[in-house]
Amino acid sequence: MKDKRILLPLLTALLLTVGFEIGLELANVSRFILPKPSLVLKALSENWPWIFANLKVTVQEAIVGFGLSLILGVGLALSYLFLPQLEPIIVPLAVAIRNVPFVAIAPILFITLGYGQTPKILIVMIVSFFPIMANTAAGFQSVNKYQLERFTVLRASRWQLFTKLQLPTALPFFATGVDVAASNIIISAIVGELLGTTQGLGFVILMSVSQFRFALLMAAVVVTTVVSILLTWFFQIATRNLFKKWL
Amino acid sequence: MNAVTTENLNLWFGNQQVLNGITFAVNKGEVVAFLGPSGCGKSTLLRVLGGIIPKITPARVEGKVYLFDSPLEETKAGAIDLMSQEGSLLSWRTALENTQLGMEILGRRNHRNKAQELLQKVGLNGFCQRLPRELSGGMRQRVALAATLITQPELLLMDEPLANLDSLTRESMWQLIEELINQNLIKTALFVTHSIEEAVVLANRIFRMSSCPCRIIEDVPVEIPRPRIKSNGALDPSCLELANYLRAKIRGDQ
Ligand SMILES: Nc1ncnc2c1ncn2[C@@H]1O[C@H](COP(=O)(O)OP(=O)(O)OP(=O)(O)O)[C@@H](O)[C@H]1O
Ligand SMILES: [Mg+2]
Repeated sequence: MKDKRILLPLLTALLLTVGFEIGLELANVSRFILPKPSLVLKALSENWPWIFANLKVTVQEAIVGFGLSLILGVGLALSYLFLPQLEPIIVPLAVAIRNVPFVAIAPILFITLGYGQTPKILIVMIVSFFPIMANTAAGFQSVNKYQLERFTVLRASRWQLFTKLQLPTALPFFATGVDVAASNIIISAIVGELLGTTQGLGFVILMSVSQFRFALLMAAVVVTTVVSILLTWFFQIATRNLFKKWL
Repeated sequence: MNAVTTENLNLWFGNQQVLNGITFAVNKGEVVAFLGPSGCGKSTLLRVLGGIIPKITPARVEGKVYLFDSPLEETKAGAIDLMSQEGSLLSWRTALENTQLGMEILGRRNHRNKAQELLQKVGLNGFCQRLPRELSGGMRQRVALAATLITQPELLLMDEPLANLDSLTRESMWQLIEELINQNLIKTALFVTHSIEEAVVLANRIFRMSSCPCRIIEDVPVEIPRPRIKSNGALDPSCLELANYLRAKIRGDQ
């Protein structure tokens, strides 16, 4: 069962690769438009040390940004669970921040924070804290009415209500938030890098475009996709296992 | 001693009056059934007695409620417990852990053995480690019942506790509840039901309620000796008689 879930997508990917190889060969497509998989593979292996060094930079930004967004998202959800009067301040502010076109404010970010990893981490954070906050908060609100009533009748303390009812109820929602957020962290980091950087996968992409090295570009794209999927999977499986009891 | 007393209890949700001068006194050890049309305010009344309204559900409440002769707000934690028709079990806790919850909340110790004992009493020996989703509806309500008994509440409130069960399962629950009443594990209890038979089998008194805004229109004593369910599962003939009498009356109200 589990083998099938991994094996089938791999097989599909393999078939697609072979299909592209043959198709592009037969149709005689220029390698400046769409390079054949074999060329991409060649570019990948030739440039692997360089790609890998930049990959590490991007993954680092993604994971640090994600970690911070977990703290921020859960922290905000908790803060207005315990201080409901904060909700009308925090939620609209969070929505606003989430919707800021960071492409437009990138120059400000780079001037204030430099061209290093910090602004990218910030962008990852802006993109991923919101689903975590919103889902966790929705989880706190989803407490079963009958259970809440019984806790009230038993005169549970605020802390008991939180630890024994609200928190366990919210865990599956939090896990969903993590899924949604995790699937975007690599992309956000790369978008950040495309706006201005000297390292990371975004830099690899920028360089290969400016030098017309399309096989290298495709290699970077493939690496990005694969790493993004793997990271999403990793966080999904990690939360699933961590919160098994509550899901 | 009176277990529950209300004096001219009136309640409004916004402009809608739901309780209309509810006055009654229930003695310690009595089991009272509330029987009335849907939407009349039975659950609302139970929620007021449990301190849920107006604490977490806003409403305008006038009148007085006493539990064991002191005002509702002054009763000690653990004096009351509530059982609903569904969903009061925590899905991530096993039957045993669900049974222990009340003790944890009250900060009382040594509850594991007691929980096991109670689960055995409600016929769930061997199901201690099951999660709610791994139990049938009837079994879940048995756990819910055990969970309310562990803290030995002076007053047990039950809002249609058996409404979601099929009739055979429900009748086996009647038998169980009768046993628990006889063993004094269920002390004073107020419960809401739509089943006239259930009221007649379980209660010492039946309060017939009017439609919304609800009043008590009749206080019917049920003086049929227990057990009212024979060992072969048949109801005592006097139960059927009283049920028919009540059914005719309720028809007459409409
Ligand atoms: N939280 C609330 N806010 C506003 N109105 C409410 C609320 N709860 C109940 N009501 C209203 O109060 C009336 C009585 O509701 P209640 O649930 O007490 O009836 P009930 O007798 O328990 O009905 P049923 O037998 O169907 O369970 C209904 O008209 C209902 O719409
Ligand atoms: Mg009701």
